[in-house]
Amino acid sequence: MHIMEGFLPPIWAAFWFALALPVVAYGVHRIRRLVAEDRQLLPLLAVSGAFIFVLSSLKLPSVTGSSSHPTGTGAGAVLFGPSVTSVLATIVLVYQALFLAHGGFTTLGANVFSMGIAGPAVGYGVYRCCRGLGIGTCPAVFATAVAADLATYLVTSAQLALAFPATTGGVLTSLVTFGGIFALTQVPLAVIEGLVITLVFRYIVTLRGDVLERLDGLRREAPSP
Amino acid sequence: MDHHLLETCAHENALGQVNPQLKLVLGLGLMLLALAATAPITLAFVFLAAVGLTVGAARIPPGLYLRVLAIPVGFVVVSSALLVVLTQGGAVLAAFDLPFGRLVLTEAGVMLGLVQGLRTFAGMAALLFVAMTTPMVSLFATASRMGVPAVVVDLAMLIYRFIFVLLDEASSVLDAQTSRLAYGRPRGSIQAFSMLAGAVFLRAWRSADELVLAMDARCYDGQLEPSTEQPPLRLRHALGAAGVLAPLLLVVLLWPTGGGP
Repeated sequence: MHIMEGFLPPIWAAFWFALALPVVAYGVHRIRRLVAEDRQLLPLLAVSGAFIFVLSSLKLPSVTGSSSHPTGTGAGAVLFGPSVTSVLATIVLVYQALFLAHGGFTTLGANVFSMGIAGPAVGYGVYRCCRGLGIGTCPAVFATAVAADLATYLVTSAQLALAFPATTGGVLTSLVTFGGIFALTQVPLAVIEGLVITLVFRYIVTLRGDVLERLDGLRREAPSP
Repeated sequence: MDHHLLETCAHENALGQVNPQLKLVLGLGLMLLALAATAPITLAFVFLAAVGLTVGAARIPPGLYLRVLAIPVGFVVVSSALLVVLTQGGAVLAAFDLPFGRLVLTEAGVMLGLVQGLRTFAGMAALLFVAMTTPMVSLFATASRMGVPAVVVDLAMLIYRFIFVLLDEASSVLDAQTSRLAYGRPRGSIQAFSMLAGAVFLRAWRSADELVLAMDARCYDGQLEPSTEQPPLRLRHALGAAGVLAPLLLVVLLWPTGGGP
């Protein structure tokens, strides 16, 4: 769910920039340190960013219409941690705005917050919980992707509701209305993305299990966020 | 697959010889004007200026431009319609009794919906001006001069490179799948799309490995160098940009408030 250029009033656009900036700055700091330790990480982060972009530019055929595309940021958070993912998401969102006319510049802060910070952070939390509870990898990956998508869509609805509170009932009525309407497309989409990410994960494990082992190694060597 | 990124136009438009920073400033200026404007008519001016610059000055084909401009229509229609319903005030224009409640359209609501819809189109047109006239490559140097950390610029450049590698890969896998009727039923679609994504991921992984090797072989020392070659800033271009922004700024500042936030 991208908020398109121009839709947020200036005050709210600035507010979400201010909220997103410290997280992205911390992510940059962490990337700098990780890259200094292991030079192989930069190309790996880059292909992950490009992968997120390409996934989002491919429309899932025959599902819920033109706006249905996976975001993949939940999976990113599991691999690299939420703050590093926020930097990747910021770059990808700029490219989505410039190459695909999705999103915008003045709404970048809000979109980074919903798609690059809230979604990955919730996904990461859900993944850690699932692993802590001893839930198998495939269900955990599914839950992560679904939770990240739902969190993103809820935050986007909240961003719109805060900017445009209803005359009667205020922010809450707006939130319920925006959330309710967007739920029609976003909830099925979250489930589909969960399925896709899980199947992708299984496909990769079947074909090249060593890839994920190496990724896991990279993450373990890295200081936890 | 629609492989046609807006970037392609940016390499072939008629404003190729204009300094990219100037185009960025012009586009951002128009976006800020769209945010500042409150009356529908001033928003329409900003929109027309951005469209004029892109289709007129940069000579982007109008058919392609219209298709791209249609991308935000779904979002704008749904969100603006919700604003119309949620915002109440002024005279009641119409009221409907629906199964889930009473729907009242008031003057303030319709105005807000209209202003937000126009503002989004004005903003998107300004964004499209930057997207369709300014190649990304020319913005990397600008970004690093503006103080974006070197590691982020490097990362952005590598992502940019890999986007094209992976899009090619994805599009050939998609062709192969489609020619085997992979996307016939919803269930098969999800399976096929996952295989596509998995194949592209593995390909991406291999590309990353190859890139490390190639960079090492060329004495990579942890810092890439963005290309700084770009058209110089010319006085007549700068005057042209000012000639677009200044009158619009005056109109936006002087026009009476129209009811938007």
